[in-house]
Amino acid sequence: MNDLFATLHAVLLGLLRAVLPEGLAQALVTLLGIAVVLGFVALVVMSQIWAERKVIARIQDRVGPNRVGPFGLLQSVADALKLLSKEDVVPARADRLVFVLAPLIVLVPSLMIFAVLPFNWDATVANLDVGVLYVLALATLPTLGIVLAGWASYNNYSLLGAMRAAAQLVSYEVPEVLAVLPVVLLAGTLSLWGIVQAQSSAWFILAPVVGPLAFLTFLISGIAEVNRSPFDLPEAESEIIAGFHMEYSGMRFALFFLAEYANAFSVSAVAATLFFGGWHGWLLPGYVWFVLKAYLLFLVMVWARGTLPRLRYDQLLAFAWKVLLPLTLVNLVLAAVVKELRLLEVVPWPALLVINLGVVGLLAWGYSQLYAAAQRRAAVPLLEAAQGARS
Amino acid sequence: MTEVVAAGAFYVFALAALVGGLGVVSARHVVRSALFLMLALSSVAAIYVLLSADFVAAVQILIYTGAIMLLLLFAIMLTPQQVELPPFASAGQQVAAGVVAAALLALLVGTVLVTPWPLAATPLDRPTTEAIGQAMLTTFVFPFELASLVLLVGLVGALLLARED
Repeated sequence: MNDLFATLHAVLLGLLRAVLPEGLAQALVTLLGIAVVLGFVALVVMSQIWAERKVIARIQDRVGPNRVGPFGLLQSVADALKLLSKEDVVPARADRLVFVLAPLIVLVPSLMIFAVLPFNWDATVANLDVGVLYVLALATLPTLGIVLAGWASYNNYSLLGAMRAAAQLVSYEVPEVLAVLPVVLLAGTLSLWGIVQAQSSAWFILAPVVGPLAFLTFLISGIAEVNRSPFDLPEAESEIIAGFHMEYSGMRFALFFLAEYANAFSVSAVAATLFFGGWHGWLLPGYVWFVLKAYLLFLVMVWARGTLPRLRYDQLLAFAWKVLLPLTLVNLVLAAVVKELRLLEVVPWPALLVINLGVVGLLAWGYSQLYAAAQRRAAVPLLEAAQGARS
Repeated sequence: MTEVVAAGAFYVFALAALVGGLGVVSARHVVRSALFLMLALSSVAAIYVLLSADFVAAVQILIYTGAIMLLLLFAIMLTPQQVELPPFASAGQQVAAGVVAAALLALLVGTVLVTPWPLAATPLDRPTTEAIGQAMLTTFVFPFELASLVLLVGLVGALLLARED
């Protein structure tokens, strides 16, 4: 089953070659691959919306969608139909051209990222030599669309959302790129396919200290880049109503929504590729492993959304520049050490796992000690004040 | 087949870049200009791809179309809205602008005419990243390190400026 896509590709190409010239047959097969990936994205987004609503509901002690179809599975279909049939409203003073273009500028790059994701060793639409750069470059473009949407809406709240989105991206793009660099260093290639191939003996998450740190910084800045909670400041409902997409309704709003979930999935899929060995796994075929890992990481993002409060604006920027940036820079140096000592090749992976878990345990213990000490420091003056008041 | 597609793609993207460039200078509103600039920069990235310079193309999108355009838009939005530029600048400015534009045109045309353009028989379908990396860490190591240092100083300086005290 593991060479399903290679077999399909060969069979289809053989069939088409029989009736068409060589170049046309190749082009058709590639187009078919693109269509399959786009269909997959649509399916993934629908299931993600359902999963997110269900999981968030459970976190908040609710039931979630349960009316349309079994377990509410068809709720997304119903929502999409509703959005399609809605009236298309453009604000009177909006810049019409920019207003109409903005959702497309958000959606198209989000979909283009899926072209380089290595779903299996034989299933990437395009194995680019600069795959990592391609992903990082395209991941910044949706924010341009968001900024333009906020500006074109001619609405102060939308404009505020747009400015927040711009500042947020400029801040979080730097640590995101720096968080990916250790992986590129360890793999020695920029191709996503090559990076997965380089993890056949040990996943990069296992690299002592470097792996987990790079993964965490990448996930945090990735969540910030796709504007998901707790970094959803550009659309914070309680502060600026809905921010950049406030004036959008119907299908145009649906495009933003689609892009947001496609982005969320591509961040988790890229994280699965870079740190969790992509298609590598046991028993099951590679593409199943890949989608499984990406989904688990997406559920981590849902979990974060369900449990963490939204950051304040200055906290958001301070966190990027004062915490993430130094951490990623130090991590890059550590990655060079790991690479030079060939730790990933020399040490067997269970030992690496033990080392990493040990470091995590040590950090948790140290943090709890510091926290307890701070509590005690705060408690003594309070107790003294209370005693003074009594006597 | 491949040559026809490549030539067609080149003309499409070259035209898009030209339309974008003209749009930047002729659009009525600054944000529209920015939108046209996005078109121009992305088309140039596509032309890089056609020239087999994949690394440069990706960096062009990452830095120019992504980060720089975003900073530009951010700056535009921080400036007061409804800034209508006067249709024509003063006579002195027009003359100066004309001279600079003519000099730039002469320089570019001269460069295009003087440079020998080597033609490859087949498309250069070979990865460039490794070669660029090699060159940066051997032949051009000092300029590269200097540039990195300048960027790092800029980064630290920005942090210093942003400190609230």
